[in-house]
Amino acid sequence: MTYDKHECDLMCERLAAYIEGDLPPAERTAAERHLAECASCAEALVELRAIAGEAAQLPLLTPSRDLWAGIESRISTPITLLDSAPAHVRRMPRRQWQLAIAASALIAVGAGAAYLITARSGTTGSPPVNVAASTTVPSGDSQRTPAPASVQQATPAPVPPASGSFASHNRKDVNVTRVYDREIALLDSLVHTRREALDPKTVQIIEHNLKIIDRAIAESRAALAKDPKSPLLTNRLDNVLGSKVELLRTVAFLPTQS
Amino acid sequence: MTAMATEVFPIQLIDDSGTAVARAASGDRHAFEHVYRTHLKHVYSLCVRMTGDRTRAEELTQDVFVRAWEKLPTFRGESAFSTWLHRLTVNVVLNERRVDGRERGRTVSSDDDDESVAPAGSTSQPLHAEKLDLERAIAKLPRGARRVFVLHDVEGFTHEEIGTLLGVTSGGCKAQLHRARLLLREALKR
Repeated sequence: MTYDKHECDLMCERLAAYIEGDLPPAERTAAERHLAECASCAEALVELRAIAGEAAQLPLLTPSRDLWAGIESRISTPITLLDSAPAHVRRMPRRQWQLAIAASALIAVGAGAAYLITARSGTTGSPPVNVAASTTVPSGDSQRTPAPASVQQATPAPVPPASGSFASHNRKDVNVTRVYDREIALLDSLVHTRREALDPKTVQIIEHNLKIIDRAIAESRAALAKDPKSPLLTNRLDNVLGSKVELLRTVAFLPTQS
Repeated sequence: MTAMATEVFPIQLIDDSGTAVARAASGDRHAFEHVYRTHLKHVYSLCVRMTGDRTRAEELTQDVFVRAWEKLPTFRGESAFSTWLHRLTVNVVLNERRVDGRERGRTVSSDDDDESVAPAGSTSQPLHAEKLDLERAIAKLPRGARRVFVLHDVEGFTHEEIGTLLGVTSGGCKAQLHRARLLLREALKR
């Protein structure tokens, strides 16, 4: 049987409802009859279904460049962990008062560390610096996604940037290391009190990573003992100490095991 | 020292995606970078197909992850994180401001169906060869039809969900989808 163009146009309009299964039984039967007898409309049905099928299997796409630097520059904030994780802190069912005391101590130690590290990098007395833009953002991305004003006006973080900011080496290095040691000791104590509240598997992984970092600290200290004036080794030690502080601080605010 | 430098980062701690999300929610940027790398392609692909513009999609992808970082503390795990991020992506794309010159002068209604945008495949990065034609054809769809098609046929949203997201009725959504498929069929036949 042949159908005229008008009938096929109507069928085409009904194909959407047919595919969706929305046609009433009588209309569905009529549509099936039309599709069985009209090669053109049957072909349209096959092709429309194929498009839907192919769309569902489209491959994932990859951006032309790494977008992380731009994202990081926008989310970077100096020492906001204590304030930025209130939801989790509030959710912790136990030892809240201990955390509060430790957090207060951390802020005090962190402020001291910020002062000393700033002094070591030669920026004491300078206006607030753009921490994110100056330490982590490649110039290309900083133009595309500049750090927000709140970041630009922030004071430096106590954890040093990755590299290049501590070329000078002076007596204050010793004090900085001591501040790190004090903060690490404080955090160690805090993490120890939280140990039972955390997932044992997580604790195991944390301890494994702490061992790696401790080994790196020991190696850096040994190398620095042989060459105490090396800015590179001083920077290296700063970085691994900073890594340990960051890890411990993160652990301190991990959600309690439910 | 070189080997040491690669060891100090506690990668194993964030092997599990759920742990990474939890850590990121507590302010750990390192963990959030892990989350970003895990979900980047999904978010970017959705942005490309929703906008039909790879350059704009890269900007939107950054916006999505910044927004995710801000909203992560409110993520309660009531749905899978990927689902949560997916919806966030759709909302960011739908709420995008038309600050780009290419977008100026356009209407923002999801029913504005008389214009198309530059094809996603027109940029320097080649797409997967077998899917190139379909990708390009999707990018050339009118915006309203493209959004419905991408959300339904590519991403698997239901008509009801799309209707809620776009502010259209379920019937309108079905009509847009059918129109999109017909336009794609025509484009692919050329």
